Amino acid sequence: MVFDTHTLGAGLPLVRVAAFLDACEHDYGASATDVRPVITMHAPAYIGLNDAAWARYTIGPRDPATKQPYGRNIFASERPDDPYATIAVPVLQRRGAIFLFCNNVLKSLVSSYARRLNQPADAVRADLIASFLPGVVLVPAAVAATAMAQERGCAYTVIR
Amino acid sequence: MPDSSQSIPRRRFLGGVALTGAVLALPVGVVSAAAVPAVAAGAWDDHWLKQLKARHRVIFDCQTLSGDLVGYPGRYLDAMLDGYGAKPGDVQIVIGLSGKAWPAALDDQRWQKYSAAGRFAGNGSRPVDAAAIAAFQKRGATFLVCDDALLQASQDLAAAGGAGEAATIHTDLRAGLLPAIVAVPAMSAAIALAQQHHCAYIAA
Repeated sequence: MVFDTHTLGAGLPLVRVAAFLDACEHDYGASATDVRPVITMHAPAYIGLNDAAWARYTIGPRDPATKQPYGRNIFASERPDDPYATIAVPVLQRRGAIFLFCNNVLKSLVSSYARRLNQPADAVRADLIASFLPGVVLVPAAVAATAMAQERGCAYTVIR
Repeated sequence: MPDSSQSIPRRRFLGGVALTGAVLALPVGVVSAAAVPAVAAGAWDDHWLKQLKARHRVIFDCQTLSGDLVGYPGRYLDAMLDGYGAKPGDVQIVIGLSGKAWPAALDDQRWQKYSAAGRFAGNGSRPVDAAAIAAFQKRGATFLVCDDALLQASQDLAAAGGAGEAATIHTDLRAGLLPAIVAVPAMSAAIALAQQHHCAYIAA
């Protein structure tokens, strides 16, 4: 199934993908290799970046307790005290999920960060790509990848 | 939302379209109307469906009136051509206008006539004008508009007053569609049919 992901609200994409995997494997009797979620990330693509990038570019939501930026990717953190530890990006990847990073979103991030940090766009782009979490794949456009995934038999759902 | 308490069955379409049980099992589209213009079975234009033959086919389900009606499919087309190496003839795009997106299908005359009463857009200006639609059609896109949405809008406009009877308004809206925009009985059915014709689906 391809998850056409436009929002990150309270970790919704991770919750939905985990629920899909759980239902298929535990309730419908599918084996792990029978199930393959593909997450095409639009605006929330930054969950595919590592802690260093989150800190360097001040990415992501603020910690409600401290009101400060987390400074690390809590959606990829498996620390037991973190909110998405059991459904974090690497956890879902180990369960077969493929996370795709939209190049249009990347262009937007590059433009924003380059301007904010007064750095060359090429350098920021290279740094962001080097900051992808392992296994995260850059695609020309999430919308095209979403359609291509369906051409290869993926069912479709949207997360808004 | 349609008022089911006053609803009448309104399925009189798809005479020439082969349906599977899955589509036939779809809930019957209902629109509350005292006078719904009759359309003979088989009178709906389904050439768009028969022409779906390209290798890559997508239907965009657009329910919001915004510039993304063409912007989002445009990014798809650009990515297919520039990123994945497809040729223009390899890609077919269908854009379905329903929900609050249907006014994008109107010509300028009808837009100006009905936009205030229909509250199509906050500031009254068109987020997607006729030129933008035409430009995207030239890139191979087919635009569909949901007739259930037009019927509902006709009733809303009639209820708002000053624009005449619902049936008259509906006829006028249908006459005021931009060139080559195809009216379909219900977008939900058109989307299902497009998927049966191997279109990918994108909620836009």
